[in-house]
Amino acid sequence: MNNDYPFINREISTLSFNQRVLYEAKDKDVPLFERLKFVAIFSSNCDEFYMIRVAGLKDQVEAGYDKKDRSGLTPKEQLGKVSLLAHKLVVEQQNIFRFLVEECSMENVIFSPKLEGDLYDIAESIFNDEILAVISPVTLSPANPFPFIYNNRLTVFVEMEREGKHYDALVIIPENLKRIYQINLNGYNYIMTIEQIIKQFLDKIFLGFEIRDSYMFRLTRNADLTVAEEGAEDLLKLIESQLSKRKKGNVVRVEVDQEMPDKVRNFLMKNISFEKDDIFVVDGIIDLTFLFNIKSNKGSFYYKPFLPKLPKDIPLDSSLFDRIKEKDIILYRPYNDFRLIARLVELAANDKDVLAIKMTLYRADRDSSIISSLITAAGKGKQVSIVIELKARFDEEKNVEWAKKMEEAGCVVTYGIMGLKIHAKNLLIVRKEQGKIVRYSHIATGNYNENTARLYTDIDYLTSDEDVGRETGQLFNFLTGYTDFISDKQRLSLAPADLRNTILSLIDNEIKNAGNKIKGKIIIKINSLIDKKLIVKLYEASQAGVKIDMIVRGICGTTPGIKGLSDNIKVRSIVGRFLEHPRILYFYNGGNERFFISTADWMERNMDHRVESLFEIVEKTSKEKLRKLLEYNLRDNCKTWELVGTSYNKVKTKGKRFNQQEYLMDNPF
Amino acid sequence: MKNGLFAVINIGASAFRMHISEYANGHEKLLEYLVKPLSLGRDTFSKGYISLENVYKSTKILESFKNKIDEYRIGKNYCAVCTSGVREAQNRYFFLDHAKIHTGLDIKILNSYEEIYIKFLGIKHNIEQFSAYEEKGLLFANISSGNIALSIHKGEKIIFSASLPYGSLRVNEIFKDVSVLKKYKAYEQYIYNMFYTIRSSLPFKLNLFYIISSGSSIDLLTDIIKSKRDCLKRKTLEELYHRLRTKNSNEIVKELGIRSSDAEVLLPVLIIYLNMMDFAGKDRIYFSKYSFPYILSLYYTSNIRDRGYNKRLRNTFYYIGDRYGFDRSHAKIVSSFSLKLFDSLKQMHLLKLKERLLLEGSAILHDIGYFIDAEHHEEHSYYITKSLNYPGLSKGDINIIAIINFMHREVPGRDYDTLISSLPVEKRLLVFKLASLLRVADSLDSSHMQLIKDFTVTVDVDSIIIKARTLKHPFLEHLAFDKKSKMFIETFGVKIFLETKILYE
Repeated sequence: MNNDYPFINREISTLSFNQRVLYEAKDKDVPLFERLKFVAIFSSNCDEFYMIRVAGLKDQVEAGYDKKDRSGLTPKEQLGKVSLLAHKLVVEQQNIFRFLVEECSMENVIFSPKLEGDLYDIAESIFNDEILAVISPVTLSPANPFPFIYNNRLTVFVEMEREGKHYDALVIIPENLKRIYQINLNGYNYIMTIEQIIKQFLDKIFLGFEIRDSYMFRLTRNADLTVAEEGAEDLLKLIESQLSKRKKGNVVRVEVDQEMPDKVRNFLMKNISFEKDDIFVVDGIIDLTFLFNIKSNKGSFYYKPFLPKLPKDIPLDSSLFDRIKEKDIILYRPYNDFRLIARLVELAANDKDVLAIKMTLYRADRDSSIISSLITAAGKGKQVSIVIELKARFDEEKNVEWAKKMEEAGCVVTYGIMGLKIHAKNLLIVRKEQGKIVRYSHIATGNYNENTARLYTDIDYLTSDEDVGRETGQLFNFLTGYTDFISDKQRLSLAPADLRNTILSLIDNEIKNAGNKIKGKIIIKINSLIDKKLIVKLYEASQAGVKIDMIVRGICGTTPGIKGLSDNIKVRSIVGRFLEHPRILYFYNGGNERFFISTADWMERNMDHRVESLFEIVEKTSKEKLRKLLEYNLRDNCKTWELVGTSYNKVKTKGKRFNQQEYLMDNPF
Repeated sequence: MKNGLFAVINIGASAFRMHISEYANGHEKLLEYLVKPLSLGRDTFSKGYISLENVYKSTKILESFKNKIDEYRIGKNYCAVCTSGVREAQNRYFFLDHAKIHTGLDIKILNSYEEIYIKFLGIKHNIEQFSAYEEKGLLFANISSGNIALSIHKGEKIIFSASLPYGSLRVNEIFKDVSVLKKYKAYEQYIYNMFYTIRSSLPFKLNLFYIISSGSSIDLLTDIIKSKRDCLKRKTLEELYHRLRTKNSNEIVKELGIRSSDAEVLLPVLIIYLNMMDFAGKDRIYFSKYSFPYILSLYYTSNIRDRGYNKRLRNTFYYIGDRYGFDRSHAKIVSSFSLKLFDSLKQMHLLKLKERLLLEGSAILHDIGYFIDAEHHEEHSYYITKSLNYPGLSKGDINIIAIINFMHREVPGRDYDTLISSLPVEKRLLVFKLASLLRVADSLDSSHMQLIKDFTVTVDVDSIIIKARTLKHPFLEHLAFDKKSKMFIETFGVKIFLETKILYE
């Protein structure tokens, strides 16, 4: 493969995506508290970015690895660029937050109010009743060595004096305490952070000491859970044992108060072991993820609520099976109600004709009704097989909990395949109807999670097609170890087996057509594009004259618009109320158009190290709906960013305003 | 079975396979097909037994297959069979017992001739022109991991049939310690020897028009070659062979992108097919993609039938007789007489069509022992018959024909207890019944001059009278009848008489 193609660095692209998320907080059309949430999302994304991506780069540097990546940067160079951009973005974030604090104050929502009068009394009660008994302050001395500070724990560094002698102390804020306290008083909504309260009453913690000063800081540690599965007889136990290690990795970032003097920083550097470059000086509140939790009764602070709908001809009783047999069903969350899928599983659990239910589980929510239905089904003698991906990052604990519960209930729980993450989202219901076996398949681009189903856009597809049922059955047989081979696939391609090659063939077909003066056109809607082979193939396609429109929400490694290379490639990103999540592919195919839905983003990890699916939609109405969906995405002029060279520009609304998410809310499938 | 679910479990030498079908009005629809590679053959062909580790692994696989049976609520509508990998293992009964205790599955060992026959039936069902090919001359081969099932068909008879221990995995195991650069030569010699053996057991040069093959070897080749037609050409196989013959398995895996288990057996498979084409003088092989589990499903649900079975069997018996220089006219008339007696006395003996076929077989073959010597020809007929192999005819049935051949001759004072003691009780009476009928029929052409052309059978309360018309007075026939009818009287408890009338009288 030719290495002369341009690639945008993945980490820079990630931060660039995060910037677009942050800029939603600047959009005046977004309700106030929703804008605050975008600030929180930015913080959360940055935390994860540092815990995983930056941690990975630091590991490489420490190991002495200095090979350039495909964008031409060594790990050290990447760290440098990432640091520059991240610092810039954090400053922007705090500026935006300050602006929003102002806006909030005009709406009588006051952040970090001065603690006086009634507020002081309330704060004092909170401190005495909820905080004081729980915290464990540490006065640092040779007898009290510097304690270990866990990942993402806010900590107060205290400088104090007694009898003319200087003392330093730490108050590590426990995880189980509330981060904010919202007080409604005299028509105002006051928001106090726990650190504000603690700092106010430090003298009550350190009795007999004179408090000189106090500063906040927070450590971010390496949290990449690399599980060596070889020889792991019981993956479940291994994951459980690894979870505790996440809290103790090396430090990758230290956020400090702007007021913190150099000598304190140096002291922390010496005792915690981090570099100067790891320091982020925050002019404002550290860790703004608390903004997820602020509440108000004022409707105008939030997006207009909407109720997801279902097409009128879809029943919610057992005739749902007949309806699926009649014609395939395609739904688009959150505009269509995901509860249909939960209802389907519930119906299947209680249906005497259902023999078996099989499902993959990547991220489930805590109170999943789907899982409850599966447990019911097992209790009623149906064969229930669940393939759980224990290694769904940051959901491992939840999934371990569910695995145990389902096993106890009699479900057959398997943990997928050694070395591969199961990312495919499939459900199969096997039913015996008048002596014949009918298989109902559900293929989705999103998880079986009723919470995220209200926040992410995703496709759900239901069919009773025989070939699809057989192929989905084979997939489950493979995932549960009943078979080692899957053959005869017509509608389903799988990673790591042949998914990438299927996509490459589809693109090659467009290239061939373009070469024969037949129109070549591709539309791709995915979340990330960083796979080298696929990017190179897209460049080749563009050079051959194939028109390529891409809607890539997050990371994108292609550089569009380069003359003679990527003139025919356009890249857009949509960041809005809902997280754009489905993967939809369209190929003109000489007029015999082909549509696919997929669970795979175009990254090496998806193509080579995960079980992913690519499913062809052949039913006419469903294809039409997908076509419209892609058109709406390309028409959007409210929430779209266009990648020009290596930077994103917000598309300006010209002419009639069209926000595809708002449109779909009123016009779901 | 015309309607319902049926599962097949096939324990092969290199993999476990499960095939679950749904039948509706006799039409089959595949629901599930599972494959779990586990090379029992590697153990059996090298050590002679299945290792304990593999017994345990096998049980685990069978447990998951049993879960599938439970999932579909199939109950007892399944068949589970094993072939050479288990069949030839010394600890096969331990293996089956272990599997039964842990899974509840009843597993049957398929003998090699049943295996060939079922595969043959399946391919016949798949290839429309199969009967036409058979008529002209066809070599049918199924190469599996343990054995090659080979049969040669021409003009509605089977010229040759054998299950030969030259399967791809077996051959690979035999020469596993030979260096990669020389291994192909070892394979070539070994396989050449197989075809030489076949050639020398055939009496004359055959003109074969078609080669048809099936089995996992065909799947392997068609996956590599991706032939759009229904045949593989010699040129293509030769090119592939020459490209790969000095490469080791890893290199083959890398070059072709196939599994390592397939790479190990690819060269033996290619050599077998190339030699086969040399043997048959043909440059292409037609194939069927029917899998063995699928064929088993069709067979055990009675959705494939062998309509030409009886005729083919009869023709093959005559062919065998010719090879041993038998008196065809005598065999024909004895056969005709035996069947007439059988049909006329049905109410008395209560035997079925299958037994009728056995009688016919013994009637045709009873005198082939003359090829060795006349004096003890019935003994020679016995062991020659016993050595025969015919797809669709079990070893048990062949044994019965052989025993009847032995018993067809009246030898005063001869005791048959030792001979028949190995038979199950219900079969012992059977051989006496059929031998009695054969003796009577044989006596009616004792002179081998076909003096008696036909006869009628009258059944009275206490006697049976055979009335025959003859050309000349049959002195020898009357003499032989008196001697040979004794067994009939002893077996059935009824007297039997022969009355002859010369045609001109």
